[in-house]
Amino acid sequence: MASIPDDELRRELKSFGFCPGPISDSNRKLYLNKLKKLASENYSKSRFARTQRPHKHVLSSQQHQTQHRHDSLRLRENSASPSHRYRTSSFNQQDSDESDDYEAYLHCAPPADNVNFTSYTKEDLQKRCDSTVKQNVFLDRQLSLALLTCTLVLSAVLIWLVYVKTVGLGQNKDVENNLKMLPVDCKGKTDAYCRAEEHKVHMQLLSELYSFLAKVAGDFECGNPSELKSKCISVDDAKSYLAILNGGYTDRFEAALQMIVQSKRDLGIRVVEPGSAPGAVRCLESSQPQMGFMCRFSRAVFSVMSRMFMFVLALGVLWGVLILLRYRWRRLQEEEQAMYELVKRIIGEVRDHYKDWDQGLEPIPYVPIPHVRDSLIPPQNRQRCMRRIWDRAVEFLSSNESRIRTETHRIAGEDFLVWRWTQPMELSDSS
Amino acid sequence: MSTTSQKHRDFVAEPMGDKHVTALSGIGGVLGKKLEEQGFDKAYIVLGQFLVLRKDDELFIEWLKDTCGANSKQASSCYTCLKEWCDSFL
Repeated sequence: MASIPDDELRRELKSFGFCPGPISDSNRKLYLNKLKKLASENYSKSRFARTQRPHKHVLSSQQHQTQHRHDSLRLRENSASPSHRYRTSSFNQQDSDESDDYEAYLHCAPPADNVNFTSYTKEDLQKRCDSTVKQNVFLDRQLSLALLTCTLVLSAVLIWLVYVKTVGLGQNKDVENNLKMLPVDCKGKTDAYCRAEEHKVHMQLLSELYSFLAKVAGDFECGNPSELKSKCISVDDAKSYLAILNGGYTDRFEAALQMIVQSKRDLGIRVVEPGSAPGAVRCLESSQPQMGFMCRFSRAVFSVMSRMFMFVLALGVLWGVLILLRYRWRRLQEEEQAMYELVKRIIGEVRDHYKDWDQGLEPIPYVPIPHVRDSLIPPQNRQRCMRRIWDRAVEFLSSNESRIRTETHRIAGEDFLVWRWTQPMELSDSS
Repeated sequence: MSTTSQKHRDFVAEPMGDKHVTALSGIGGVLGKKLEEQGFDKAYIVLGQFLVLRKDDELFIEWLKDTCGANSKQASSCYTCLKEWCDSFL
């Protein structure tokens, strides 16, 4: 590889993905060495070396950071100042070059490591700042989780209560058991055995009476299809019913009634004396009405809901409050984001203005605040939606930005508040 | 910040104008003389070579070592100096 013509050298270098500048006497030897090195590298590795340039860390990482931040600064400024189109166009070229680099390796580009490195450091900083935002989100999530569990627990409790009431309302087994101690006929005798038998008959009578009364009461409670005036059945009606069932019951009816009145156990039948209401007859009613399942269920739901009403209401209110809070938080956050975005653009604008003045394109080193606003915000947004954000951004700048100073100057006969960029150009930028 | 010398900071702070090549960070009396012999008597000519090599670090450092016999540290210092100057003024 002693001496190959320049264009062939260039082609060879490009085939390895390396783009040489102009080849002249002073750097020809350099490029030849580079070609040799690339050829030997390529021989040892597979053709994978084409897609990436091995980045040799000759420099300290810190110096890299400063110069890469300069690059990002340059790019960012150009995007913020549309008036300086000549710069923008050249840097746009650079942007497109970098993106195309890996696809068409014949197209030369500056080392693309810059962009990756910058974005890494920017992301790093952004991650730290995002942690505070994440805390808000965390709180929000915790609150909503808590409310959700509360709701679930409450609904589970409600369902359980409904079930208990439904089943409970149907529970009358033990009372029936009380009644089912049973009789054999034993008329007229008074010895202990017969008395026991009599007792049994009475109990059977009572059990029939009980089921009858329970059914009547159930019907009455649940929609009253037979349009009874009350669930209390008069003594005469009860007697006639029992007579239909079993003739032998009629004699024992009064005795059975006495038993009910005297009994200490809960037999499920109540005797209502006529003295309580005017014009009422002595009647019997069931204390445990036998209602159908749907009837029981609906009654249970209704009673549970009415008692738990307060809790449900409170929970609903809390949910509403949480939703409102979330909405508000999101709005605040969006506004803050917009404000910081605007602040960045303002800084870029003021700095560009200063640079232009430095180069002699602008007559004054400071720029009036309204002029900055008008160049950043389109007219339709100035009065209404961006107004608050603009004011907040101005406030933020006056308190938190040390490189921009607010002054008052007379420009073209009118007094303006102006912003002046005070930092010398070489120092790097944190954004 | 602590790794740049005063010479570096002085060079990067203003346009180089007609400064002598020894104003470059990493280039002292001896190296400056060698560069002068090769025709690189002003800093801007070295800048020219830097730009012609497309601001590539490897090539520039290699070139500098070949031309004036600088060691790695001096050459990389010079490279950084020129790169930062370009970032600010070019």
